[in-house]
Amino acid sequence: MTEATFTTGKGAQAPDPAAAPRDIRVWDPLVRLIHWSVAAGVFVNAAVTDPEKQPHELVGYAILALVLLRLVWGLMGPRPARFTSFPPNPLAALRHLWGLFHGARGVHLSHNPAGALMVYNLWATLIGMGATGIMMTTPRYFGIEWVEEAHEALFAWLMLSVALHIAGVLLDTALTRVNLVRAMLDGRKRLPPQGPAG
Amino acid sequence: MRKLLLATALVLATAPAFAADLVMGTQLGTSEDAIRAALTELGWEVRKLDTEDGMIEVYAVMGDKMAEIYIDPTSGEIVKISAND
Ligand code: HEM
Ligand code: HEM
Repeated sequence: MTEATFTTGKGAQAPDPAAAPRDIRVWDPLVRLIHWSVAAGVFVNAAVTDPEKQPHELVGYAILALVLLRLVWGLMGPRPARFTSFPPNPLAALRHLWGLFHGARGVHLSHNPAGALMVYNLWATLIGMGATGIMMTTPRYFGIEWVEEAHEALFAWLMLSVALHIAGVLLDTALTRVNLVRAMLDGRKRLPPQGPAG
Repeated sequence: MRKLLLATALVLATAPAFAADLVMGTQLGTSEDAIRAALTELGWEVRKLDTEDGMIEVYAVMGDKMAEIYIDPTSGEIVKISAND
């Protein structure tokens, strides 16, 4: 992890104020395509499709397939996309948040440790939605209340998680001045020139 | 999709082999208990039964068949049905 961390704020040594922003490729096209397709799919299934009709199921299958593809990519994709670049580590996440509120401004070349936990949570929740959704279409679980309730509860959890996810992205962007959304769009993190204020 | 399902349900219902097939207008009963009894009699396993928008909504399965049935509680007839085969 440490070699994937740049320090741009307090503690950075000999900053060159004239330094041009450093451009670093982080997200490969597949990661970006999957991210925005999944986000669009969730939006469509949450707000557009009628859950009792087929398009809802097709979009749900597509989301599930994309998440599973991303998990395969996490084993064999480019370095920033790999699980090993953002291991789930609650302690590291807490340390990261603690640091964030105490002036640390680390820039990560993958997800930061708090973001990583959120990412695993989002994937698990999406897989749970897909699984319960598919169950509802099988004779075994058709009309079984707890499955429907699980699908709904997971959806509520997903919405809460997405809200926190976006808040986290915006907070991190505000503090580190590395535009994370832009990086998820064009693949590059632009590290800000290191000004005196960090 | 619903039309397709309905058409399928209709086609299946016209096949005399299935006494258990349900179509629009099939009389099932005006109370939840009566409906449950009628469907059970026909060989369906009633999974869920509740009221939605003034209609009685039933989820029932028979083997690999799954049906979501809406019944008008005043007439006791099926007013909407979607089934998978
Ligand atoms: C339903 C909506 C969304 C879901 C399910 C979702 C899910 C995810 C997931 C799973 C990742 C990890 C990506 C990967 O490693 O493959 C991620 C990353 C990211 N998402 Fe979302 N996302 C959603 C909406 C959004 C929105 C609306 C934005 C824009 C504000 C956004 C911005 C980002 C950014 C910037 C990252 C990278 C974070 C980082 O640099 O560590 N997401 N999202
Ligand atoms: C992974 C993304 C998915 C999302 C975001 C999603 C979202 C939703 C939402 C918001 C509802 C309405 C819940 C309510 O009644 O309050 C719903 C219901 C439903 N979903 Fe999904 N869903 C997803 C995947 C799936 C899949 C893959 C299937 C099936 C293959 C599926 C089948 C259903 C069914 C049958 C219902 C109706 C439940 C009922 O009778 O009330 N969903 N879903």
